[in-house]
Amino acid sequence: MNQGSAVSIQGLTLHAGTKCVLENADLRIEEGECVLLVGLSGAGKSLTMRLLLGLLHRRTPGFSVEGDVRIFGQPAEAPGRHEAGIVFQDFGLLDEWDVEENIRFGLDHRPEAPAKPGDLARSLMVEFDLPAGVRPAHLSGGMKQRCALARTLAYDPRLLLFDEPTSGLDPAMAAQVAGRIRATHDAHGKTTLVVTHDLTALRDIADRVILLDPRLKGFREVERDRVEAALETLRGPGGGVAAPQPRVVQSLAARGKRGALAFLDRTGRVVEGAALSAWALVPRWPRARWGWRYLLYDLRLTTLGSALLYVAVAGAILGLIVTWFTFSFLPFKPYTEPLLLDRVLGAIGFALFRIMAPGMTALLVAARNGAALSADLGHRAHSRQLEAMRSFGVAPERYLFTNALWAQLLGMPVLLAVNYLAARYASLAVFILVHPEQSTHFWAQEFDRFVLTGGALPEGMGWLVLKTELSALVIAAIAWFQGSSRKESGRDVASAVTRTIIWSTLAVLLVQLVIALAEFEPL
Amino acid sequence: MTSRRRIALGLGAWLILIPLCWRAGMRADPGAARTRRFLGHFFRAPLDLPIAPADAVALVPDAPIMIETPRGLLQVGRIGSGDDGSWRAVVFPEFADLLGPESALAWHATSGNLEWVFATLFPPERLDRIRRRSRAGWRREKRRFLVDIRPGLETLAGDLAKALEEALPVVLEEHREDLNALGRLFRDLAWRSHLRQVFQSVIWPRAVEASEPAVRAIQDEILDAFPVWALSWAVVVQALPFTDNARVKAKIGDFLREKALPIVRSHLPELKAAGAEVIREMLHDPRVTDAFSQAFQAFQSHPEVRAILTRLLDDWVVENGAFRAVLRDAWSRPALAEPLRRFLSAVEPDIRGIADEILLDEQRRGINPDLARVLRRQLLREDRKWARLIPGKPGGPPPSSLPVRAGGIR
Repeated sequence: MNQGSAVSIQGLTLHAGTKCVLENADLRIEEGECVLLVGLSGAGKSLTMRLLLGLLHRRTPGFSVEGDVRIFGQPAEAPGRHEAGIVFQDFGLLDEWDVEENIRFGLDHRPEAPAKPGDLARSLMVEFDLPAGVRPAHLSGGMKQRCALARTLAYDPRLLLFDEPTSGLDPAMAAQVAGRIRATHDAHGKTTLVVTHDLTALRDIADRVILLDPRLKGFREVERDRVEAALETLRGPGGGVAAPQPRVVQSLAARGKRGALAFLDRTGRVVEGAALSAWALVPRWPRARWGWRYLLYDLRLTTLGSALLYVAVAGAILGLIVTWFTFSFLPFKPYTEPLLLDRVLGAIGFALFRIMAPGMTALLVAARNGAALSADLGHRAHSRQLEAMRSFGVAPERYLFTNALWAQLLGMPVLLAVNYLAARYASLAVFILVHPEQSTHFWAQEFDRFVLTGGALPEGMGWLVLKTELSALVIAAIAWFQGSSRKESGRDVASAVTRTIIWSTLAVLLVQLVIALAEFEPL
Repeated sequence: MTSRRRIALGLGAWLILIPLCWRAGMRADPGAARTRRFLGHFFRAPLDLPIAPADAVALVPDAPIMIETPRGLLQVGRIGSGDDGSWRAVVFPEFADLLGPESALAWHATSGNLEWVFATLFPPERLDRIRRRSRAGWRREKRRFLVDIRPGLETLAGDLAKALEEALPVVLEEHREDLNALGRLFRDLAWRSHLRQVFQSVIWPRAVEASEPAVRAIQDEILDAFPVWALSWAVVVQALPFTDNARVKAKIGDFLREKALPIVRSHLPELKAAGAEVIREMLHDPRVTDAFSQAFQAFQSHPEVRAILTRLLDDWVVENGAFRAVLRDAWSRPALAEPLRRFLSAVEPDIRGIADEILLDEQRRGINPDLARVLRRQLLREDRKWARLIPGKPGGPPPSSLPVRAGGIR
């Protein structure tokens, strides 16, 4: 073990599934070095980087990790460390915040908060020539990279990691990026590890070049001018990445067993997810400032703005349809209506309050908010925002899951109230139309007959709150688990959104059904 | 398309949509009356007036305040109660115009008993209409119906009588003991206790008196015709030895047959008239009628008599299979069924009219408001206690408080 090394990997064996990526591999990078890690596509460069960031460790599902990985003498997976920071290939910038706030995110999550984070953020913006008040979506590619670099520096890690920093850039731009990396390395006195396959642009900024050799399943240092030849050798026959394994045809029994195990695994995940959701309700925000900001963000996403209009319009249509069709298709209307007008109004009021408005709101929210949360989280997963958060020592669920749950818990009653009030007064409008001789106050008296029964709260308020809040939690939990899973493409995001809508709508229907059965005595 | 053109297109769309929506709204709500009512719900509060109930009035909180309209009762407010035990009348703002000087409340309790149901469903004018309709139908169809059904009824009566007649001997035979017992009971319960005394003291003397002229005439004529010499001779001859010992008996027999009986027969009309006269008199004699009434009462109310009669009737009528079969098949006989069908068909408009009178409102479009009241009271148990708003004089200021008087059952 070398306590003085910036990076120390000893006897590392890494399996991704059944594939062996590294076997008893060693690597050492000294403090202050600028090192290039090169290799062919699929050789394990990104996995190595994830190992160094602590994002990949012994407990990561689907991977097997043995050996010792240390950053500045500390185990890479140790919680709360901030020795390594990364600039992702696609930057992982937080879309909802502007440039300054992205930098503040890094600053605020340092273990020791700086004295004047605002000043520091602005000085970094000046240093990297970043505009104020602009969100990442409106930045050019170069600006995004500078922003990501500034944010990583704001976190003040001793080891800077760059993941394919020149990927997709033209040679001039790539040279500019390479220069900036070296300049930053020199100016900020960091240890730098650049993972790349673009030797042309980056070879000259490195002190050393390390090759990830798939034949050795390990690291070896190569001289800068011999790197291309080494890579060419690897690309040759028998030198490249291991050929894909032949497809094994499984028997029906084996496939059945695998399916059953997969089913049980999913069931276990649901149970685990329920337990995690309950635990996630406890706010454990790393920074209160960002906790409130994310809560407000989730409230805006799930409750405020279009969601209110959405449930209001749906509620108005619900009230209109229910009242209009009840009065229009009342059996033997000329005979029954004079007898039962007050009871019919009471029944409509009761059904809207206890069954229809909660059911419709739950369904609408399951579709809208389920999709919104899942798409938001899916995009974060796809654009590596979640990994970026983890690289700052922040467990994303502490901001995103907890706040999604609370946004739903706080927002759903508001949405239900808006939906019910819209349905209620649409019902009044229809009543005025079909019964012009009656008072609107008679309508109110009878509409609330079975709801306001003299207690401090409306009848069945406990059940209403229970099914509303349970639906809210279920929607948020499904959106989190679907949205935050690993995403490799936009299609994965779309699939997650679709699955969220399907499962959350079914789940809230089930919640409404089960509670209705408990709430009302069977007929 | 350029941005400027798209803006123009959007503007044009709104310029078309807004007037269309406005026009549709005006068509749906001419004069915006409904819109005003809708908005009024949020801005016009009900009138809250203190009320002063009379001593006999026991108000119920939240009881409806109603007015009577041609379409039935219409709720215009409700009775409210304050925390201090005071009573309030909460009148819906749409009906505030009904309040004026001399406005009052009449407090009604609806018992729901049969009398109330009948009075509500059949107010005098409706009952009169129903009677007129039913009489008109019966008068119109009565003659034809009776003529049509008479042959059938006669045949039915004949068949029933035949069934009873055929069963009677068997029943009497089977119940000989019962009949004997019945005779004994009649003698004990009716004759000895009630009838014998009145017969001996009233009926018989009067019968003797009434028949006396005819009896005397018979007596005289018989005596005149009595063959004294022939009979005396017959006695003498019969007293002689070796003569016919039955000569006197034969002579008397001849006399009775040839003389006395024709004399009696010739006076029978007088005897019958006398008997009829006696019966007529006895029917108006309270001593006789009371005695018969008491005798009949004593006889028929005796448990044993009742039991015997019940057994007899059971076996004769109730358990009479032939009798029951005739009754059962009666309405399948065309002679009865067809006239009845024709009758019902002929009076159907009248029956329907009567049913409509009870079921439908005056426009014949919905339920009769009175029937609705009865059903709400009886089935739903609603409107059992309610206040009727008596509108005040129009144009005046609303009253500062409303008196409540007992309105009785309504």
